[in-house]
Amino acid sequence: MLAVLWDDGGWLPPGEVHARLDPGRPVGLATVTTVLVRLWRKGSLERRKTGRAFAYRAVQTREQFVAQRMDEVLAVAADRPAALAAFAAGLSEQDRAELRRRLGGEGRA
Amino acid sequence: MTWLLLAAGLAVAAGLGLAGAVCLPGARWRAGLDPRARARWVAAGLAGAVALTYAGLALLAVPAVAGVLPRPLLAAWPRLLAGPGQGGVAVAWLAAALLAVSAGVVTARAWRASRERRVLRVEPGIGRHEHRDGFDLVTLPRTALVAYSLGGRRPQVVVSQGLCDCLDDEGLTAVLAHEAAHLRVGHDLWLHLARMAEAALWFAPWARPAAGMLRLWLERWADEDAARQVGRYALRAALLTAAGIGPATPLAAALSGAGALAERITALAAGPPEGTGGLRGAAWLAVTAGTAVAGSGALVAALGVLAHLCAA
Repeated sequence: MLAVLWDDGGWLPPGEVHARLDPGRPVGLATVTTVLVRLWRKGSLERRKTGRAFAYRAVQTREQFVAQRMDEVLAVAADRPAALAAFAAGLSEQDRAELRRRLGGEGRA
Repeated sequence: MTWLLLAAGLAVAAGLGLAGAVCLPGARWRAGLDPRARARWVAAGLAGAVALTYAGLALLAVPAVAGVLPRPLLAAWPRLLAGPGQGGVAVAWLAAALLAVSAGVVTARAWRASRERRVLRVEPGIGRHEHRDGFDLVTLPRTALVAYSLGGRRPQVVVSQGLCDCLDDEGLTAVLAHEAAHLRVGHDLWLHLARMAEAALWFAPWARPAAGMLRLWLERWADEDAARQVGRYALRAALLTAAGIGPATPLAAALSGAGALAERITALAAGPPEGTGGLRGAAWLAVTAGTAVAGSGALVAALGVLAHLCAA
């Protein structure tokens, strides 16, 4: 839905968003409207009254959204390494010094 | 009997916690032990500790809960109507309160875990997605050094471009082999168990190192599986690079943070684990013996309590 709004770039009413969605994955107009309202409540969309219905527009550009999502992923991955099947926990400079010290110590032993 | 159950659960948790606390700082004698057997033992011990402790608490809380339930519901178990059992009303209410708070803690932790997983699952359109054997490889164009896997219906391995740039082909293959090993064995679920057990035993902070120990053995498990495919040296070099200190650092041979990585890197230098490594080391014998005694005691206690409830 966000992709449809980004592709258009302007204000779109739910009916228009519904018409432009991928026909391979049919969803009802009511579902589209519900999701648009949820996205608006979350602050991802802004809306304005056009006639009897609301028209919606994405608050961020696609690039801004992608950058924000990636930062969010990396922040959670860095914050909770213990809860993740992560290859190596992100280390602070102090942790790195500790790791060097431990490995160096093993080397001399 | 009830107290025996509770004591058994807390004793197993304490034993595991002690073993975890002893294990976490680097120690050479463990390097040859098979991480798979270790992880299974710790996971079984943790699950057992939670089950025993909660069975004990539930039985203690029975008189308090029975007091507020409609009496017809309890007709089948007249003994429950006989009033508070061991410990009196105060203990029963204390156990009930502890159970209620624990349910809240576990639910909150589970909700937080599921929210984090939603954030960590990268949707199409974010980063570069490639289909690999058994998972989607997602590369995020960021300089941070990150690699993790997420199981489920659409397994993903997420790596950052920064990490890919630091690693050569062999190193990247090693990272992917490590993450694929996590996905193949379903370590996600094990990690979730560790997290929930940690939440369930929030009133027993001495059990916390046990969850850390389980995480370490799971990482070592995936390390050993990956090392069989790509070689120990390649994996060790990749770990050092991912830790941000580079394979050029003079080394002899890496749990959350520096201690865990030191443990894993050292273990990879020490050679493959010998045999199944079931029970070497005094700490392990003690934990195993403790678990066995507590387990049989708890079984006898549970049967006794059941017989007591069904009698009359």
